[in-house]
Amino acid sequence: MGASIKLKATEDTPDIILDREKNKFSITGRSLPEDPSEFYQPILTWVKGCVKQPNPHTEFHLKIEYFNSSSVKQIVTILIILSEIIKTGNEIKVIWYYKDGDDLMEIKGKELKSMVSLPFELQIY
Amino acid sequence: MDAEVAFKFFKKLEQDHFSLIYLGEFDDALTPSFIRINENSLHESQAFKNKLSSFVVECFQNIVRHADRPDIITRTNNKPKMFMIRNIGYSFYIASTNLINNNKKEDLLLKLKSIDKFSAEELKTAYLDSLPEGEISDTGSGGLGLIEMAKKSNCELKFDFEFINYFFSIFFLQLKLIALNDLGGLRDAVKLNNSKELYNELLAENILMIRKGDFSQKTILPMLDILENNIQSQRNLLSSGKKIFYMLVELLQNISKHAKENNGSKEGIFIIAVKNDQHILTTGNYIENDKVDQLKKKLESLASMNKEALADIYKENLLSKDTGVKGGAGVGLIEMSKYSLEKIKYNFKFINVSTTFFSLSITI
Repeated sequence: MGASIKLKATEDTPDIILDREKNKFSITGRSLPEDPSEFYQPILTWVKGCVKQPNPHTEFHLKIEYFNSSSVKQIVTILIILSEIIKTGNEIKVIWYYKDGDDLMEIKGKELKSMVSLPFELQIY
Repeated sequence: MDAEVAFKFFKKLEQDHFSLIYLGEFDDALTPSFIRINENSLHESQAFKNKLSSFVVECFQNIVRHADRPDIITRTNNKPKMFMIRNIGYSFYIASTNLINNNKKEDLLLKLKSIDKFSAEELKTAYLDSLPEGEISDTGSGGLGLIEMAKKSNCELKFDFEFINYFFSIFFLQLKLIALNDLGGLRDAVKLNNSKELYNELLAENILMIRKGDFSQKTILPMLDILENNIQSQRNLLSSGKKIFYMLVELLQNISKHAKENNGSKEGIFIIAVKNDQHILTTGNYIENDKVDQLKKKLESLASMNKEALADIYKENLLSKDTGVKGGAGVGLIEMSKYSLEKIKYNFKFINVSTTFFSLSITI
């Protein structure tokens, strides 16, 4: 497991920052890769490693503009792994951002919130 | 519009290695995306692609700048602008259709007819030689008009006017470019009349865009740009625009994931139509016959579910550990069923012992 992952956004993949030292964790932008399970594989591996020794307070920011359905599945998997942090006694909070009036993203946020058991906040930006 | 429309147009464009037809509003911002679709879809030489792109730019700008627009849209004059590019064999057909004021007709006709006056030597002056190397500038070909370009590059140009009322005529323009000097293979696969016919059929079905050919990710992305632009200009509501875009991605990637490969390409057709302020998104592609039963069962089962059942199965699917491509496809169909305003329409058309044409249509 590397110290951090930084991926610049491309046309069909999001900007990703996973930085334990700076305590910054975010996925931002479009997520439409043809094969999301391949794209998210290293992310999942990193997050799995991270939750074993998490920071005391982790905020995970999801600010997704567009996605395909199989990317959502990968994001759910990330959330499930993140919920392990609770067991370690450390704090974890997920913040799902959506634009005012963007029903699709609001509903998607609510759907995800109902699927996982960890603090999950919806926030308009 | 039924799912079978996909097959109808697929057959009409059967010989096409690639086709892109777009009706509706045009602005310069769309040009780069159109060029990118061509660039990413074709296997011709870069020199030819550059040449083709300069024609696409010019043709496109012709529509943007010169199309006339009635002050009041009526049933007679409701003729949207069209841009078309089709590749059959080594031939490329670029066409535009737009309204023009009848009082401009004479001038235009004179200009078009001047092409005939050019001598064979003059025509031989390859237009490409006069083009600067490398990329095409924003202004396309430095202000050179489409007709001038056609003249200089020895490409075949056909046109026609269709009188619609006292003020307007429809102006059809079609160019043919040939990628290789494959003289043996030359023939007129697309006559001007075919394009006129096609235009009327597209109008009758309220079609906004058709794309036939290979649906790999690199050709899907520029297409999404065009559609995003179009949806935004039509629907100011962020909410419905986002949903349409989401469904577009699912449908297009569905072809790229599941279409039966034909000569190394994931061939398919995608149609977007607008009716009563709703978007009808339709795809069609070949699939292996042995996949038909399973897919049919899945679609039938989804069709029988109400909203709650769909929400449950969506949740179940997302939480399942199955991350294979198959599982992914399942999520896509569930989402389509959830968001489609009408029941998903689908059709399986038996082609031969190994192949079936599968079409899928959703309304949003």
